[in-house]
Amino acid sequence: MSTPLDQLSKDSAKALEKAEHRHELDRRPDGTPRSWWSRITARAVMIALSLLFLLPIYWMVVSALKTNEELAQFPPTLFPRSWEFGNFADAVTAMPFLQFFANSAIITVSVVVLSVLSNFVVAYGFACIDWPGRNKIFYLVIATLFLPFPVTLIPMFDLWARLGLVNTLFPLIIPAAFASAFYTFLLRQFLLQIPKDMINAARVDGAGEWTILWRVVFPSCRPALGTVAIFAAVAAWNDFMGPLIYLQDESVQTLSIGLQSFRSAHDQDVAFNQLMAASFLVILPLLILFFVFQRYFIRGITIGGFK
Amino acid sequence: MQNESAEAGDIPPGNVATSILTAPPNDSSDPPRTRPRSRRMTKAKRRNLRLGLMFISPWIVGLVVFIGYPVVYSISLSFTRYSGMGAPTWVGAQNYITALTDPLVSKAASNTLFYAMIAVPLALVIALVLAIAMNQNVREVALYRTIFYAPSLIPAFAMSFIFIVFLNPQFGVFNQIMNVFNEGNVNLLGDPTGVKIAIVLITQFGAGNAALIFLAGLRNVPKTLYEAARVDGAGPLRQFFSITLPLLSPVILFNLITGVSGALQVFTEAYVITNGTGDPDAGALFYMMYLYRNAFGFAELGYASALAVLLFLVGLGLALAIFRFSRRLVNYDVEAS
Amino acid sequence: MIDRRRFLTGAVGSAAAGLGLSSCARIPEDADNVIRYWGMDDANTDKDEAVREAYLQTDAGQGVEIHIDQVPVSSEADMSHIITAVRGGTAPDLWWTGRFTSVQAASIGLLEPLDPLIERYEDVSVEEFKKQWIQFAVDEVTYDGQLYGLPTDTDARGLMYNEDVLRESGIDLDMFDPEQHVLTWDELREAARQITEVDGNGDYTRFGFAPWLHEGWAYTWGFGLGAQAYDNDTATVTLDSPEWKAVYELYADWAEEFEYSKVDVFFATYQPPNAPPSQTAMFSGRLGIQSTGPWQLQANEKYAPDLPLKYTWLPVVNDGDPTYTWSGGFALAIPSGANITKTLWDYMKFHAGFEGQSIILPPLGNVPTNLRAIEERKYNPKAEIFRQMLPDSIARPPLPVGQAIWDTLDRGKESVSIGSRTPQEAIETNQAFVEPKMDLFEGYKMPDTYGQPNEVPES
Repeated sequence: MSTPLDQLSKDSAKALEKAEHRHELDRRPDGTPRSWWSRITARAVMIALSLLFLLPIYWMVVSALKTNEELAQFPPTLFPRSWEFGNFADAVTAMPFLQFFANSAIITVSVVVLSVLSNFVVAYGFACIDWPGRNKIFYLVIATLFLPFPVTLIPMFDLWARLGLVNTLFPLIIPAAFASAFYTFLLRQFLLQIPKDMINAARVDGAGEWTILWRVVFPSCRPALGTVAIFAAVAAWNDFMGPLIYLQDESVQTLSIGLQSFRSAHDQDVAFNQLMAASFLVILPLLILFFVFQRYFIRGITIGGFK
Repeated sequence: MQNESAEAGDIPPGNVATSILTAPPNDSSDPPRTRPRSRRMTKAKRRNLRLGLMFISPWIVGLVVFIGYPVVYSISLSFTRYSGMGAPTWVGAQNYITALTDPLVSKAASNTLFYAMIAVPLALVIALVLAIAMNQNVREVALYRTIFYAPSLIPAFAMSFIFIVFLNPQFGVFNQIMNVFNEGNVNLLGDPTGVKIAIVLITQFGAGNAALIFLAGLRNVPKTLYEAARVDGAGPLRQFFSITLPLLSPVILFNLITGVSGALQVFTEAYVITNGTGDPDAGALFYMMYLYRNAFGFAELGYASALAVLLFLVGLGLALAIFRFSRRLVNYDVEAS
Repeated sequence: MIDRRRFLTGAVGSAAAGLGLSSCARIPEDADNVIRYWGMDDANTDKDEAVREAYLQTDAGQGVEIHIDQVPVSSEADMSHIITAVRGGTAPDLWWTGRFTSVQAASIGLLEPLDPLIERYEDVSVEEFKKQWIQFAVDEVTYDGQLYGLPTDTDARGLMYNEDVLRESGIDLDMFDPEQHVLTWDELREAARQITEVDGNGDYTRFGFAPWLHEGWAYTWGFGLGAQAYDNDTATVTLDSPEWKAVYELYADWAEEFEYSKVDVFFATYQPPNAPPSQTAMFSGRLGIQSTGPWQLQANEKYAPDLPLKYTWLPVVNDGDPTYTWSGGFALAIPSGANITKTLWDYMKFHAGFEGQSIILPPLGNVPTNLRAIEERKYNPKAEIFRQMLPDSIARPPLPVGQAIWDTLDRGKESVSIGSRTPQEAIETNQAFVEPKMDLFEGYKMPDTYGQPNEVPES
């Protein structure tokens, strides 16, 4: 079944597809083909850079797989002599890892969903509905980008305490339901790219704004929403200060803060390979998420810039 | 007023960075002031206003609750003595006077400035290099993009753990390199200046985020410009300095401002590496660390609020100063060049 | 590629489930037979559990539920957790807390006074009741004449040395025998010189001793040099006294011979942060002497059972000077707003009293504060020398700005050892930092017994 609206959304997706830039391989920005020599140098530089940027993760994985004795060896070995996969199991059992993981996952998933929804709706309000004064209001959005976090730290804590929600996950989740300057901004830029004709045509057809939002606009801005999702996921998963302040009981702690307290609790007794193993387990979900959504992510952030 | 004229006044679409900076401050959809303003709005306009406000209402609520309220609260707490328990006691400007004479505030502020002055420019250069690498037209570019971005995924605390080992005099990679030039070992984390340098190094691995924004800017540069430059006989280096860099200037400004704002609030890395102490010799006692210590170590929330307000003012002042000084250097108009 | 709609549906579902879960994770209303306890820490949770099990075996323990939570401390004496918990109404009923910061916690209203409980539930007077514990430990949890915690363990500081290293360096071991001799600073310096070895690059390969390391806090040497942070009679901060200057001159003097950065490299090299706990400079025979306390016994027995590690007194200035040391430790306290019941009080007395201390202390290594537990030697026999130190031991001054004093004393130590400030500058900074904070507590008096010798049963 194909309604005019469906057709519209298909068109918008196609328009977007067209907008995507197809680079010609191995050419300079000015279009000239690269020489053999220049191609080799470019790759050499990039491979060198890649090695440098892989270093922390490499070190993390290798340390996680070594025995403590091997870790203490000098000079350090590049590959573990024996692969101690047991370190991962030890790390998971040395602290309530699954509990921490579940809490981090709950926060992250909730934050991602709420961020995407709230910022999408707000960005639609700023980009697709033409109301008087909207640009002036939008400057206020931009201004809040520069507000430092510590200014809100103490009062927000006080507010949550008064609501009796300290030591629950809510203080870390609820703010995501109310849009944030950076994501709203990002999405707005993207929504302004969508041909006005398409939205107006839907309006002429009698579609309400809510319907247009979901049936016309949503299909064509999935990449941008993916971008917001990943930025939000990384920020929520890695948040340190928030859990440090709001979460006290072990039953509500997240991975980021749990790992730090694991370290300070075992200051005399810290098993570094386990720490690295735990750290790697912490970033693994993010790595997987990024690999899976990488294509959308890069396109999402880049496509906003296409003319 | 017609929809079309409103469109013309919009902040132009472009990449994130460009549009913050391209929007001229007085440009808006309002009619020119010389024309007497009609009191009545058309029916469609009223409807749009209602709809628009409805759609942005989550943000309005967020602004009031999560920004407006805390800012007002912070400012009023900053004039009190408050332990977090009981009622605040009004002390006037005492907290501000104390802050300006507290030697640890100046110590923490100078540590933070030292950090910002090295970390921010360095991060800009590294992010730009990464963005250029991410923008190369090679088959496996997606792989490079992922690799360059991957360290940004590592949480600051885990990154700090890794670097504690990297920088270790005996086992660390860093000392293996240093030993080539130097006879004795150094422990970067044991030196008041070294520990700041170490934290600068750690944060550089998070350049991927800024690089992605640069990448968006790079892909925004019209190809025709490069082609024209080639016809004029400009080589790749010349193209970079006379086309890429000027056209990227709004993005550079954006990354500079957000970089400064982030650097003023540097916390997690120093907190993890020094276990919250800021040692050695308060070398890693950054402004946010001292603020945190006052708030939650000494239970002086009023004083900590005053410190937070001062930081906000300094940050805002720096942002404005950067805007001012950059006015002549930043090129907003893609087509004109 | 994951289908986007299914992903979103799933995500919304999990978010909803998450919200539900997190609300379930909230602590249920306190029933009178339920005690929520924030315990020692993750590493010692077995000791907390052992006390709980023992209590549940008693008559009073029937039907009582005790939930142990190990709340992570992000750094030492970081009160953010308890402040936020009390403010947020989620504080536990019982809290294992450092005695040192409990006066500050009491001063801002974080803790419940215990005197009313003693009066309500005990047959003896408050004064009589407190006599179960060693005096300095009681002083440390006394604010404004009221008791705010029941002391649990304590410790003391002494020197630990490796006999093998000392013998190899040609040092007369009799000098280090606590039965025969108390070292002077000069003798200690000479020994440190003899032990220390340097390689071709000028890096230390074996090291003797440095006063800023380990337990070499400003307080540690300060108690030996007569330095006082607060004068009770005049109610003034005295951090700029000549005695404090002498403490910092001590650091500066040693740092002239043993450069701070070189010593730092030595430790980072032979005791790297990623090394297993068995690989410390002391355990690997690289370090001759260090300041430490009885808690060290646990690690010694676990990782270096065969190493001849011995303890002796802290060094004195002149031969024949009295010995000195200071003791810290923990207490059980009731955070404000807790559900205060007889059940809670009974368990608190059990945990911090003779029974609890008898269970916790032998494996912990530290020394009991409960006099009967001391008398019946409920501690590791190797901690005997620390027990002998207790009669003359002093606690850090119980002041409501204790944490700020500690912070600034420690920063002074770092600066002077590194050489970035002179001793005079350090004491002036300390005084300027603490004085305005203490001004808020005009006329504050520490307990009269503070700093007096303690009555400790000889056995």
